[in-house]
Amino acid sequence: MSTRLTSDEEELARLISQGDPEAFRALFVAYFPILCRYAEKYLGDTTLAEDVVQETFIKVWKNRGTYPTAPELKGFLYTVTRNGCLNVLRSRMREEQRHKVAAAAQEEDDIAGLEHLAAIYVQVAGMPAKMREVFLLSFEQGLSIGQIAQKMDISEKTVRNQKYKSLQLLRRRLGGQTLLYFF
Amino acid sequence: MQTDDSISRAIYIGRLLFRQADGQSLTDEERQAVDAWVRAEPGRERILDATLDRRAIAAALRELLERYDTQRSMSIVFDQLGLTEVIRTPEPARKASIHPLRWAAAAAVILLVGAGAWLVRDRRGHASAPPAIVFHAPDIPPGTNKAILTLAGGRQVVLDSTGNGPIAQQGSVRIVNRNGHLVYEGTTDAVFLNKVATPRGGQYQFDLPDGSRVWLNAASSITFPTAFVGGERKVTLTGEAFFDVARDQRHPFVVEANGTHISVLGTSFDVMAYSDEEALRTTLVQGAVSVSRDGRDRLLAPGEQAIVRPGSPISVDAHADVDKAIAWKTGYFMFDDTDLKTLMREVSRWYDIDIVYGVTDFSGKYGGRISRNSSLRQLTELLEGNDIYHYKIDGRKLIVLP
Repeated sequence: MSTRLTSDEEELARLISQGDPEAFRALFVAYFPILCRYAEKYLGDTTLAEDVVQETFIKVWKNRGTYPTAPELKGFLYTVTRNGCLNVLRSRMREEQRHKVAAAAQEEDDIAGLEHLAAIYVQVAGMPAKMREVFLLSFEQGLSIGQIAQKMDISEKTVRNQKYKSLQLLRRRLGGQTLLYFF
Repeated sequence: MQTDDSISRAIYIGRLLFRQADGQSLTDEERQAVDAWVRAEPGRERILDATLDRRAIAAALRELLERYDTQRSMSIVFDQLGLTEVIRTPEPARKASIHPLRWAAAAAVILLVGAGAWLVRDRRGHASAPPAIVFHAPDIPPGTNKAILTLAGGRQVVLDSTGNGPIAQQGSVRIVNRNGHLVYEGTTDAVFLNKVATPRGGQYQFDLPDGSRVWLNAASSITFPTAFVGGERKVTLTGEAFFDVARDQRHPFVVEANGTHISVLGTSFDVMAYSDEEALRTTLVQGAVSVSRDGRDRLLAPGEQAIVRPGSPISVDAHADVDKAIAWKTGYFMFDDTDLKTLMREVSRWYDIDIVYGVTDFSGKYGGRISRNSSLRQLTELLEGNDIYHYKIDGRKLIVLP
């Protein structure tokens, strides 16, 4: 299988395998919610999902060095999370959970969808707070520039700028982002 | 059950879907891989469509952001692995009370800074300097819990978080260091004036003789009697402190700072009275306080901040950012619409360094939050990673460069 992942992810995997805690933190920020969403499909419980994914990251760090490339690292993330979920379900052995195991057979589809989301998530997560709010209001709720300006109590000009910048930023690769927010 | 192979294929396909939706071109081979994957199972066109639906994507992103508490989990994991965190969590109890939008904004800052530290390195990955230099670069640790107690006779005692046990006796009052907190035990009618002062790079928490609790920020001092006698419980402050005042209706608690008097009955509030800051700020968390200056006074309600500038009447900000005002006490530098010099004054007090400016443009305003547990280098790397100037540490000097 060819690997067409971005160089950023490769760099991240490489740094983690060398024991870089900052890279580990970046991976955590990007993948924690994605893996929680994945785990929640098995467990049907937000808090349990968070617990399982915490264990996943503990294992990632303890086994750093074993997965030096992005595909290996990400495969490890999903596999360990899935196994963690199955262990929880097995230890409970409750009837009502069985159907959830069956439902999780759609796993490959879920992961493809989540990976697509992860690629965007990493970039939206990197937006300054105000810009991201504009982005979400605009694309999620379909609000007009005037409505967003009113809702956020900022000028229309600011909304227009932020919206334009948010799109521009989304199009850029990770390397060039501005991170803390500016006023 | 799915195999690991199918997981890695799904990851691969997911990334191709993103690139396709992002308008990037795929190679023939990649396009065929996507087509084959879509045809392999019924219903996969739906996934393909979903990748192009921006509103659905934005909704999914928002949900991810708000549904899972990434920051809390990161703390748990990092603590368990013994890794130090640059950014600490907001207090969990607060989460529910904060407006969702504000929470999302707070989360954004955390996410941003979290990713930022890595991006800094990534960008530098191409630089010629070998990584070893980074490890030997000068650094300055953050401040610690320490202070100096000056007794009435002029004797000085160093207070830190390690000492435990009796420190001194003033009349019949015994002064005890209890796990790094100063406690006055016993009562007396004989009054001695004591002073607790933190150096730059120090902070300290202790209890006053009446049981009121004081958190003293860096480069600050508080002078108080070993016993409060008479009508008022009066203390004198320089610098910044947070007070949690023991309730006693009959004996108002009065803080005097730079000629401003803040009187309270029982409440918690912050007084920032650094002489090099442009204003004296009193921020009320709970209860009620009265701020008076030159014979005029203003009553504050919780969430309000009184601002005293030299030569001006007291003004009141009814919607003060309380979290920001007491961020230092909870372990953060928090800034919001803050200019470089204000930020650097706080940094210089906490790291006990002098700031040298090699820049002339101070027009930028910045927002964000950084743990006070960060070393100076960690802090400057975060700022640099966000294009907020460049820094060089030289002895006890921090040089700010364009």
